[in-house]
Amino acid sequence: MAANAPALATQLKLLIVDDSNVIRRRIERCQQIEHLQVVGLASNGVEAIEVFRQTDPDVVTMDITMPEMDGIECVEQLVAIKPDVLILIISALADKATAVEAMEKGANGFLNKPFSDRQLNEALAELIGGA
Amino acid sequence: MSSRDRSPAAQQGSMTTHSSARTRDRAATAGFLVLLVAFIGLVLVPGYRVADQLSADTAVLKLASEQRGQPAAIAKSLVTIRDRLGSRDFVGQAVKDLGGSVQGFDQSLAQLKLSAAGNSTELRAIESLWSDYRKALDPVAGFKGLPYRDSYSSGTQLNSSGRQLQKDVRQAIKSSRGATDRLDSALAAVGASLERQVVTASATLRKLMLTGVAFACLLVALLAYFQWLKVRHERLAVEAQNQTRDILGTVKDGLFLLDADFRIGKACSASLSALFRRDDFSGMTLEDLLRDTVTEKTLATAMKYVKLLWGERANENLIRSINPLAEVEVHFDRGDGSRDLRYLEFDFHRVKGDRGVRHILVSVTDVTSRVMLARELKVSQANAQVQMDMLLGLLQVDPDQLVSFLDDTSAALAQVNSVLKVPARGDGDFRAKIDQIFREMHRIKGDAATLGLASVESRTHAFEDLLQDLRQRSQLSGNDFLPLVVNLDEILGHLQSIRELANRADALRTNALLTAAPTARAATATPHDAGEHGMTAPLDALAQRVATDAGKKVRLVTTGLDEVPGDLRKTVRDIAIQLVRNAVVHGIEDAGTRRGLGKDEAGLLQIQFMPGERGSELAFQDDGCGIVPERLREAAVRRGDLSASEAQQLDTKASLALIFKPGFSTHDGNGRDAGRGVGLDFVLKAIQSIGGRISISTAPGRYTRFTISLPAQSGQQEAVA
Repeated sequence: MAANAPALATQLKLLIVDDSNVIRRRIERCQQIEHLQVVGLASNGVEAIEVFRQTDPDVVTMDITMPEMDGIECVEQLVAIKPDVLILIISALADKATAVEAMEKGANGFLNKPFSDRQLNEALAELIGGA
Repeated sequence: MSSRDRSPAAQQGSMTTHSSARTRDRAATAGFLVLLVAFIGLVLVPGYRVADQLSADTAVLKLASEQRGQPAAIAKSLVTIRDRLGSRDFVGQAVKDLGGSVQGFDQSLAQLKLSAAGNSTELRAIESLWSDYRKALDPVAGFKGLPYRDSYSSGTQLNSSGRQLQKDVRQAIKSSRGATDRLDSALAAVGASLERQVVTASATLRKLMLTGVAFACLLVALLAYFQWLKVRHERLAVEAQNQTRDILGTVKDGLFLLDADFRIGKACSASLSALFRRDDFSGMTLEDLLRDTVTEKTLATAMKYVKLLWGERANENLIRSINPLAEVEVHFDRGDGSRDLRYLEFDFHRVKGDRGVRHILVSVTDVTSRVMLARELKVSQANAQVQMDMLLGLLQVDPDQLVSFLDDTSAALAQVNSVLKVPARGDGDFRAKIDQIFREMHRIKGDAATLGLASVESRTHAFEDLLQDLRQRSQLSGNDFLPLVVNLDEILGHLQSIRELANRADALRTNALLTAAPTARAATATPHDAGEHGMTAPLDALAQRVATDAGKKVRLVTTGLDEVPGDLRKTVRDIAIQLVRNAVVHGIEDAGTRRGLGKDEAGLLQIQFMPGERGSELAFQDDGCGIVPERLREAAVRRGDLSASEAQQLDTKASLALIFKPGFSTHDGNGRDAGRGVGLDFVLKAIQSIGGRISISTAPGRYTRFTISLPAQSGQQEAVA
């Protein structure tokens, strides 16, 4: 897993994918990880892949239920594009089987909605540091 | 539990300790081997050589000392031959002896040449001496044949070879005079030289022996050290094994390791057996363990989840929240047919080795009490919410009305209690009791409904259910009333908590009044403060609620209720409640029917109070379906109150009077608002108790009107239906 963790000193790029504008803004505003810079926002899977190709992020926060292309399919495609990308699923945990499926496709972690600022930052720090 | 909890420094520390121990062991083994090789190369091999040399030198020394006598023996043989020749004796044996001595000396010399002394000057001197000496000896030693010639004339005489022999012997004896001594001293010198060598070799051997002893001691010490290490390792291993056993035997969690095939490892904690009520875990897979415990879907998700941990991608700490086995409901047969419900929590941790994940450590915890506690908390939160709702509801109720309700109800319940205590003799007594209690309860229910106290209303309704149940029994005894006592206590307790809440609500209200601005104060005042002594609004609320429950629409219009004198207010209110309820349930049609009849969708209820000098009048009218006497008679027959022929004989007035019979109802339903046939019975009793009268007038399809005459003060007049 160490190979997946880019050196902490380098600037890491974050892509936020969620169909809710409120949640996107919330994540963008609340994340306070040093060296982590938001480079893109997307509201569905198709858009996420497009922004991903343009910005080449290192870290992605991903919703599961989204229009056009859901988070699970999107995770699979992002990992195919960049195998060492770190993906945190941020979703309301309605069904654990779906969440497990997202991990099988290559996501690295899961954060339940609703979340506090602290939970978000701890999860991102764990994702980057504990990878 | 995870390796992340240990600091990198600590990990490095323990790794250093392990590797240094390994290096030390390797160094000790290497040292032992070097010592062994050195012992063989430096001690055993040279020792063997020295000993071999020593043995050879000793043999040569012996030979040299033996040969020292040989030159003298040769000289002696020569003299013997000369003498024998002189006396014409037999010389054959002496010549043979000489030859043997010469040959022996030759061989000895050859041996000496091969020995350590082979190159010594002494031996070379001997060789040269012997070589010269031998020239003189050879003719004698090589003599063959007879040296004599016998004749009768001169007897035995030397023949020519004899004379030659005699000459050679003399020559040899001459040589021997010098050679014997010189050879002797030379041999002595060789012996001395050899002796010195033997002494030196012995000393070397002794040193080697000592060195060998030292090596042997070292080797023995090393062996002892190894043995000590081995014993210590074994002791530590046994100690560690014991500690592991103690931990696994004591820990409350069920602990086990899973391999890549999801098989449960051999070392399990003892609690696992208690948690799963089985012992045969060895060789079992996680799937086997869970199969009968969780749903197929959960099982499938759980297996996928564990597989994620075997992979490298998922972050163990970030997928814990999606663990499908975080709270598993498990049922166990108790053996007596009943089942024991437990909640188990499975937690999974990666166990990493040098080459990635080696095992998954699974810990299983019984979280039943935690789950139960959480549920209780939820229930008590819900209760608190109910209390809060009640409190907020109480804030809406006029405090005076509430206090009066609580006082009245307490008195009524005390009455019920005393009725329950009165001894009853027969079935009739019991049924009379039930009727009496029913009326009290029904009134309380009506009051509670009017004030919007749903919690009291539902409790009294449940109490009525009990009473209804008793009524339907064919035989009654005192024991049948026990559940009533219990329920009565519960209602009393509930009233008490309402009283406390009311006090708190009162305090809140007072507080609000004290702190709020005057305009706000007007707003917080209850709406019942205005008009009709607060009677109209609750009655309207009741009418609306009952109508909503029944799927109907009503409109209540009151006149003169604010003029009801204080001593009649309670009676008027009680009567009005029952009549409103009765009218909405039985009188008013649903909106659709009314529309069909050309009536207004909302039924009209009118209450009118007219005070008078000799008494007052309370009129109650609805524009509903009216009362059909024939229906009342049919209901009475159905209930068994009357026979068909008796019913036929009743006139309209007598038929209408049926509705005041205890328990009479034409309504088949059993909702909380009507259907028990209590309401009008209660109204009649209430009117009778103050000496009033009631009359009914009705027109089927149009209206029903109750006219109640109330005395100015409690009178003795009989009520007439």
